[in-house]
Amino acid sequence: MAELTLSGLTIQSDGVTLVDQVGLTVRPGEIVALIGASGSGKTLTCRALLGLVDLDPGVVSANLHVADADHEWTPYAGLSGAGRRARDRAFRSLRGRILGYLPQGAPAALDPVVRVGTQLQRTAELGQGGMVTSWLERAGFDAEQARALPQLWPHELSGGMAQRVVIAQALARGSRILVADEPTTGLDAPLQRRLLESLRALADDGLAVLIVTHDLRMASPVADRMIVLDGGRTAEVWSGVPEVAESPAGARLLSAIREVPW
Amino acid sequence: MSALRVTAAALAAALRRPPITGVIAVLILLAVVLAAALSPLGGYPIGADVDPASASQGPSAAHWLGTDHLGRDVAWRLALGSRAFVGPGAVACLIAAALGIPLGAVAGFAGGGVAGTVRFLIGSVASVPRLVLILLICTVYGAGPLQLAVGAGIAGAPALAEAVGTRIEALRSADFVLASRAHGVTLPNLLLGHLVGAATGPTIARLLLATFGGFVILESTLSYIGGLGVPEPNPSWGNMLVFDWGRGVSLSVIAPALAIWLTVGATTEAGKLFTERHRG
Repeated sequence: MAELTLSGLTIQSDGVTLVDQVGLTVRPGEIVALIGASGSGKTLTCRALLGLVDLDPGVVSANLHVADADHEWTPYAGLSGAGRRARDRAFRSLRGRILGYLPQGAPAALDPVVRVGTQLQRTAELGQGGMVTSWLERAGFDAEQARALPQLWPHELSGGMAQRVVIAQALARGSRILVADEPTTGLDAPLQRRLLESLRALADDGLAVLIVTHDLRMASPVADRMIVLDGGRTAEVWSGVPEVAESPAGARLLSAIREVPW
Repeated sequence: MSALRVTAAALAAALRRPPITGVIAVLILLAVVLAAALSPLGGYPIGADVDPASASQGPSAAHWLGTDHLGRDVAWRLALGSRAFVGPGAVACLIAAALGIPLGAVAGFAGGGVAGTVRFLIGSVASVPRLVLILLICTVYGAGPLQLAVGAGIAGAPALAEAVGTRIEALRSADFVLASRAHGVTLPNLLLGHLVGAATGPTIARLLLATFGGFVILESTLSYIGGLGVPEPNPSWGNMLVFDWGRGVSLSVIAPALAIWLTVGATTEAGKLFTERHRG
């Protein structure tokens, strides 16, 4: 059980403000969707949660609070000098153990020159241990697939398989808060549904899940709350679907992504 | 450790579907290494082997590859001559790897001023012609196998550093690197296990074999020219080649020439075994 609260996140690069005063909260058992059009700062926000923003100056202000039963972390408490080292240390103890990340484009998230089983094994050794095949089954593969997959190279996986392998990695690592960046991109509707169901099951097991997407229609049935990023700012927070189309930010988002309102 | 495992796995995979030239190449290299290791045990009397009675003979049961114009056994001297480059060549490869791989990894991963400084250093060494660098080292520290090995190792480092650096730079911002860091993989493990080990391992293996092949040519050349190489009466393939030069076509000239050609060719062919399997 771990929860995360972010407020006042501002990210700049070469004098341009890319993310402006963004905030969000994810609690155990909850799926929160961070929704925004392309270029609205979604991925940057994700990376800031993990301390992986490689920009200059990057994160200029943020108030990030992560807590589990035993510890609390406020990695962005000091942003320069000695604070920077403390921040790196805090993120090192957070990454993997508390915070898991499913990057955008699962096939590219696997090392192309290492077999699937070896990668999964290495990740498991960092965290939960256990059998590679059992983690693959937990991520939604049947027993036969789970036996065959470890011998494959990442380029031999389909997009959907790669996505589930990446989820198996996150499970094997045992992260308590999952940040999933566009997890359903490139998957057909049944696969999207299965993936969202497995994320829901994880949330029901007590994980906190943050889904980042541009796809309002995909996110709305599964998310407990939706946070809309509009031009690098948090626009509105919705708990349900009907409000979306009526609000100005929702309307802009819908037109920007050419989604048909339902 | 994982880097070793991956390299071993790549080699094992390659050997399961071996191209025949690769197998022959590995056998040749093994034979050369064994010759260097075992030939001193034969008790061949180097320096006391001159026998004018059996000078310039063809192959026979007593002398498998015949004799040179002093009556010395070509086969024995060929086997013993491999010692001139096997040990020093291996040392050169070790030095090239020890210098080139970490420098390349730093240059590729760090970026910014650190990478610039390291690249300048690598470029400075690379800009000195190999032979000049080795002559310089031998002038300062005296000629000998160790000096040759150190010179060749330093001269071989930039190629390795360049290959490793370029590869790592290309992979540095790959999604799987980000994903690994997000999983909490530490930077040293990421560099060693994924970037240097798995991604660059085959390239490193090929370049190290090429460094070894280059050392064979270098050593033979210096011994052929004389002065910095192995001095008579000690045998080296280079000084054997020149010893009977101009005395007509005989095995005493052809054998060392063929041995050099086969060994250097074998390093190239063996290098081809280290292909990147994941590309199918």
